[in-house]
Amino acid sequence: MKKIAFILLLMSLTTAQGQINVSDNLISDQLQNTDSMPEHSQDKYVGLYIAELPKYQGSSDMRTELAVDVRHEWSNGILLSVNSWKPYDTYQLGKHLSSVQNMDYGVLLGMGLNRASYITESDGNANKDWMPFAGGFFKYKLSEDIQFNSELLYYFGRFRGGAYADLNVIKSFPVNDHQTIALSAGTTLGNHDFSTTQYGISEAQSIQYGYPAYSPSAGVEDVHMGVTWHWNFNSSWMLNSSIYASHLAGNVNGTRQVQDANNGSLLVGLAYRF
Amino acid sequence: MRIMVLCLSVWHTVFSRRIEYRNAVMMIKNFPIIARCLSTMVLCTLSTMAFAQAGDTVEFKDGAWISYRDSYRKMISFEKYSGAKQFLQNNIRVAIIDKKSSLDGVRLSLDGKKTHLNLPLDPAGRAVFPMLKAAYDENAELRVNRKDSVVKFEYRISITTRPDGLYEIADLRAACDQALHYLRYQDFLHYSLKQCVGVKFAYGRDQNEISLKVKYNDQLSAALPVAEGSVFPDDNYNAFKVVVYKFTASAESGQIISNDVPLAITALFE
Repeated sequence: MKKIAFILLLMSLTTAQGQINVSDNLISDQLQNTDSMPEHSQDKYVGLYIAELPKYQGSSDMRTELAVDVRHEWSNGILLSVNSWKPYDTYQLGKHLSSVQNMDYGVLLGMGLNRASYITESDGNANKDWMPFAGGFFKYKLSEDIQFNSELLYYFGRFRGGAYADLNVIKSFPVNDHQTIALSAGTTLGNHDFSTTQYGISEAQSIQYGYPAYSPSAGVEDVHMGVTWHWNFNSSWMLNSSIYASHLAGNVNGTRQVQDANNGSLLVGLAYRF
Repeated sequence: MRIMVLCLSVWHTVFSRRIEYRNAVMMIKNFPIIARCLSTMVLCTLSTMAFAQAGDTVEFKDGAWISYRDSYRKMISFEKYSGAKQFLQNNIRVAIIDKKSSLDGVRLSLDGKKTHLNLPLDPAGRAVFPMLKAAYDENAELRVNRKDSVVKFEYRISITTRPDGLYEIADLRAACDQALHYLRYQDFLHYSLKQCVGVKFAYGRDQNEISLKVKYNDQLSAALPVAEGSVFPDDNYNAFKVVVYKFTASAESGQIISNDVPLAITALFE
């Protein structure tokens, strides 16, 4: 099984051609405390999806591709998470600092891909670049079915100074013992450095690609909502589906690289719990 | 796993081309692809289900089930709860949702690769939950020999019964408060405005001559009325004899005397 998980990870590296910021991990959007696991145990999911995604957020070009997500939690609080379709925080390694009944927070380290990585030269860019980050997450469960999830990241390297936040509220509706439908709504925020590196076009780039220069402002990057449907067939196999829509806010959507401020995506796939 | 690989190859042949669209009208044209995708998924999952169920025993085939890991993570929170809980018990419960059915012959078992445990149910459908790391690691299932249209799984807090049948009213009030505080800790939004109003004693149908009396200032009241009802307030299975005691400010120092041991005592909130 470990080999298969490894192969899936490799595939996630090579197959990701489109990106959408589907905000939450498809397989476990429910808060699960690490202190509720037996000592020296783990919980691991690997999901493989067929996805209809925009080539990049703001693109009107859609892609059909295989997508992967992996979530691995250890009882000591370490977590590993991979979402091949998430742009800015694709690979995450983290640790729960506190994970008791209603509240769960911790630190994250990881890498995402620069938005420009998905934009071809003819569309005005070709700089594929990894964005390493450090940050944290905070989850709060208001009731059995309403939860607040957030993530705050700070970028390093070429993207130093960029800060990004993703805030979401999730309401779940149990259909029966094995099916749940979850609605989520949220927003992503970026500071000036972040929005400039992801959406800005400098004078130099403007001359190189013939696109008008653009300087976005800090604040709300997008608002988004999604519907996720989980269906467990047994304790190992589940079918996950998600429809997701996002709108790029006026702060960042003025560039010609944003052809369509509204994006939609669809993911359907099977996940296995090890 | 073989099935997954098969599904992958199907997808590759169906979706190996790039799809582009520029407007909403084109989006509609893409729906058949989504439909194709969905039908492939359904076929795959059906075959995996058939695969997974091949090893099941006949009795539990098609029966209701839940993941042991999910249950474990819910049940352990009571063990780790640091608030007062000495009057409480926490159980996994098989509840009847089909009124025409009954708990007679219903069996609960814990099944994993190596773990096979029969978990006895009490007449209220509750079982003692075994905390087993082995079953967690095996990703075992809790299974019932009834369909999920007939039964469902619940996690229930109830008040422990006493063999001598003698309950201090102050203790019952404390027990109700403990239950409420634990439930608030689990689901703040739902229980934050609720208050304890009383307790319910549930007896089996075959328990005759039930008598529950209030003793206050050395005076014994008449027996409280016995009605037909459910163990927990929101059950829809009413095949029990129940006696409700509502808290009053005056009788706080009294006692409740039950001539028979009830199946369960539950807290009542309003």
